[in-house]
Amino acid sequence: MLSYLLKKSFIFSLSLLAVVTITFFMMKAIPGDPFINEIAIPKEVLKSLYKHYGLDKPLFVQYLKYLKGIIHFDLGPSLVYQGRSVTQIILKAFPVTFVLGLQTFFLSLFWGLSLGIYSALKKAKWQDNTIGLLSSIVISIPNFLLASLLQYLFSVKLSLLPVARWESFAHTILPTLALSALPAAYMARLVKTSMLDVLSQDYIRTAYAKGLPFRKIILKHTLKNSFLPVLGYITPLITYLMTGSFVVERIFAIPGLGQWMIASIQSRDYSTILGLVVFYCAILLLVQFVVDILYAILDPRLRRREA
Amino acid sequence: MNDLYDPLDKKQLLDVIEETHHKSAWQRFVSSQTGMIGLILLSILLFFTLFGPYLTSFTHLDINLSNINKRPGMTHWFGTDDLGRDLFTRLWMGARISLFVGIGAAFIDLVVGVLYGSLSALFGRKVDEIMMRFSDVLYAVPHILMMILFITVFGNGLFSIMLALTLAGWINMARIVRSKLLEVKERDFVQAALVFGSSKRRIILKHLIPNSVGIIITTVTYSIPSAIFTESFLSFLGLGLHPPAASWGILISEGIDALQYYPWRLVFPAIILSLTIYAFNAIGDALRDAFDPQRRHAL
Repeated sequence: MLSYLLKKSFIFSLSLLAVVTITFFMMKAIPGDPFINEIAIPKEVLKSLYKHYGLDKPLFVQYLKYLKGIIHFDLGPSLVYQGRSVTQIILKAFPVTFVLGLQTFFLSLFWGLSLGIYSALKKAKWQDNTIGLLSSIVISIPNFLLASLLQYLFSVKLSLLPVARWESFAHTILPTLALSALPAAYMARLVKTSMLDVLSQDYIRTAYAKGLPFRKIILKHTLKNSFLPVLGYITPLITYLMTGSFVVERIFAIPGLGQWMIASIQSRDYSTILGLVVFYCAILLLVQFVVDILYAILDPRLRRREA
Repeated sequence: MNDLYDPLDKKQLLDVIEETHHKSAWQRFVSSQTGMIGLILLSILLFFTLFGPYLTSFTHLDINLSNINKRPGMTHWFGTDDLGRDLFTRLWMGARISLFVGIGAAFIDLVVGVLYGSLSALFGRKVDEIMMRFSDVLYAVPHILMMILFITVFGNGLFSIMLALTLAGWINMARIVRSKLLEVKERDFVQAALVFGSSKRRIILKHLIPNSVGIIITTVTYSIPSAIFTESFLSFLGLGLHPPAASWGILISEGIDALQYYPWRLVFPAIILSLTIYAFNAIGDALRDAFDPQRRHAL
């Protein structure tokens, strides 16, 4: 187990370093910088601006300085929003995105699992077919479309829920619904397939043969074993929540990380883009790291093979 | 006794076996309901993509300010937008862009992924290890961030967006091809062919390629809709193509703004986009089941 952990943490740190390096040099490769715009700035001012942000030093020195900063959670100053550091922006915006993500995560987990298990139990009956049809429809609709339609229907037409902004629980309902539809549909398919797979295994037949009641077979043998593929879906789900939040936060005017990401791209605030990318990647890699460990705990064969 | 080991006979026999395998995969596809629905839908969509823009007397850029936001009717079948442009024409011109980007991206994924995956699988050992670690590290970077960075650096032209879409797509293909090849390599019939003295070339051409074609076609079919999706997503965020180009993402995001008063501006592009995605996914599902009957029996 220890060697497995070591190996995984090595890959984790290597990936993070690769991300930081690639992103850093890509951002530096963009021609021009945010100080060069329509208004001509005197040369001296430009020079002192470069000096202030450390942009006058050689590229490699800047890179090392950036790496050193990351260790202290210092992602540098924002180039557009004066007096604000990227770390401050993240600290302010992340809790919002986190709450939205957490609600979506549990809602889609709930719907995905229950619909998936239900349609596996009702295999090829009308319930299963309906769920299958619904999930293929949901998978075919872009989430920004779904979010806009929900907003139009429930807020503009029916005035049941707030149109936008992020103030009370009622404000979070529509964004959460819009964001969770797609992962719920995916997960329902995934759970159904893996459950049917488990149900056709020999040990289930043995359990039937020895007269175990159906309820017990499902609860004791099937559910636990059909969770493994769901675990594999957690990282893609977190990635989806992240990118989905770009769109949903924009439609519902939620001041989260996604909004900042889009805003910083549009204003060419390179240090904020860089900081947010590094932050996002760190979170995702961390999730992947935890999932890998969970896998090893649930499936002992894996850690023996990988170690 | 000699006839029994006649190389020609053996070759013919193998060909017959492989042919029946493919025939039945095709037959299984044709007999599946979802697959046929998807195929018919896609043919209709392709027909309009090719000929739709010529069915009207407008081009997708004709501005007519005395004719803005017209309801769908006899002259403008899908209505007009806020600059009086004919939506029917714009929609099918948009289909050209979206399908071109989607299919182009899927094709690049295919070429790069198959090359990378099969090289990794065929060389094996150290080369395989290094190639797979490299793609693992790349895969760990969130795809959408890579695309956004790429587009920020290289601009949002048609080809830059198409390349951005393939940045991560090929890794998936490479992984699938590699694991399929590794699996087939260990199967009994390949071992048997080795024992019979088949050359490496023959094994690759006659066993490895035919046995992995199914999963490759299926993966390509799935990657087209996901590329179309991502393109529309980027357009919605303002990071994709810019108006007056008419990709579906642009039409839908313009339609969302007009939803309250001119709903048809959203309804038509949204339905067509969703139908296209549905068609590709349905064909993908049917292909997957057709090439892998065991899976279908399990379901």
